Formats: sequence, C-alpha cells, structure tokens
Amino acid sequence: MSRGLTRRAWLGLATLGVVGAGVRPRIAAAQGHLANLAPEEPIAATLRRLFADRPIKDGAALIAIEMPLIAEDGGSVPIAVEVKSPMTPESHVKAIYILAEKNPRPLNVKMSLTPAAGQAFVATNLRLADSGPVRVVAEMSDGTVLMAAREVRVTVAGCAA
Amino acid sequence: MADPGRVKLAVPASVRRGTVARLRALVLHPQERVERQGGRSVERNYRFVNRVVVTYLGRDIVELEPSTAISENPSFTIPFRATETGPLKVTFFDTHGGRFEGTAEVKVA
Repeated sequence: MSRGLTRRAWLGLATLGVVGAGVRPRIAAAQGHLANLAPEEPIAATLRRLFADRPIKDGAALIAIEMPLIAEDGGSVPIAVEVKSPMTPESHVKAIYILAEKNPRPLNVKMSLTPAAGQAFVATNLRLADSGPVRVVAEMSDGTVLMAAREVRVTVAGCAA
Repeated sequence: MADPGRVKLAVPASVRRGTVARLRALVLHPQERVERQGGRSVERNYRFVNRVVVTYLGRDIVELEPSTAISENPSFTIPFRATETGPLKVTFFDTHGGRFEGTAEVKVA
C-alpha cells in the first residue's frame, strides 16, 4: 500500500471538509441526478409532501381540465387547465400543480402565478405512464387548496419519469 | 433534433389594453426521461428543463418547474394581462446549466 497521504494529512483534509461531502459539490450544472428529482412515491405521499396536513377540498366547480378521454401516445398528452379566479392581489391562484396518479414520480409540473398573469391558465403536454386519473391542485392566495381530476386512458405508455 | 435550445414564442399580433392574452412558448429540447433497469431508476445527470421564467415589462409574472414527465420539446401556453406595449421574455433553464431565451414584443392597442 502506498503512503501518498499520511494519517495526519487525512485528518487535516477531513477537518477542511474535503473528504466526504466536500468531494461532491452541488453545482448548478448537475441538477439532473436522482437525488435532486422528486422521489418515487405514491401520489398520496406527494400530496402530503407538498401540502402537509392542509385540507384538500373538492375543486371540481372551479377547476376546468381539458384532456382527451383516450390518449394514443402517453409520451405526449395535451392538457389545458383553467382555475376560475379574479386574479387580483387580494384573491388569486398562487400555484397550479399537475399530477399523474400512475406515474412513478407523480408531479408533472408546478406553475407559480402572480396577479399580473390575469388568468389562472396553463396548457402543456404530459408524459403519462398508464391509464388513470390526472389530478390538478390549485393553491389559492388565502391558503385554500383545491383539487380536481380527470380520468385518461393511455393506449401506449409514455414511460414517464 | 434540429437546433436544440431554440426557443419559439407566439403572441397575438395586437392586444387590447387591459385584456388577458395568451403566449405560447416552446423550446427544442430532449427533456430526458428517467431510465429504468430491473424496475429501478438508473442514476445519472438527466438533462431536462426544470425551470421556466416568464417576464413581462421586466417583471416576473409566471414561473414553471417542469419535471421529466413533461414531453420532449416542452411547450407551455401562459396568460398575461396586457397593460403596455413591451417585451415578453421567456427563459428556459435545464439541469445541465443550459439557458435558452426568447423575447416577443407585445403590441397593446
């Protein structure tokens, strides 16, 4: 065994924090590692992680979800979400979360809004791993959390995330 | 993929003052999905857009945090209340330090 570093030198490095955590700096250019992604978990765990014990109310009357009933390609499923809100500084939607219940990592996207958006709307394309509900959660400026869902049948899975 | 990182924006030609219009923003990007082997995720630095910032007249109006479960070439339709003629800027950030920007001029009539 070579003696490149003496015991004393190792101790010195350890105190400087070079050994262990120090050798894996978290730089902006390496955010795609699994540790930085949301964990693989059932959707109930995701909701608990995001909203803790806050009650999640039925938002079907305020949240409109537009999606195809049958998605042929799970790799790209269009969705459009609109949450009814005056979008004033006193009363607006703070955030919209889109979650796919059957994806290993259920959160597809989080959108944070300001009243300057004028409307609580977003449209995008999702990857869906399997047939199941797609849930939309709206977090209002007064702290209320609302949720609505749409059932989607996926013909070819999107191998989503 | 031709020209990854290219940003395309679409806004209406002209918007009435005070009304809400919608911007469509797209970036050409692989938006890599997590690979699985034997039921487990493979560890590596996946390259995907994980932050999108939309500014209008220099102020942030909307921010998005997409995951790997957003389709390749991510596109988002986003509303904004047209108050003045000025720039609407969209910046896409990816997990490998990539930064892709596009600006559209909003004409308020």
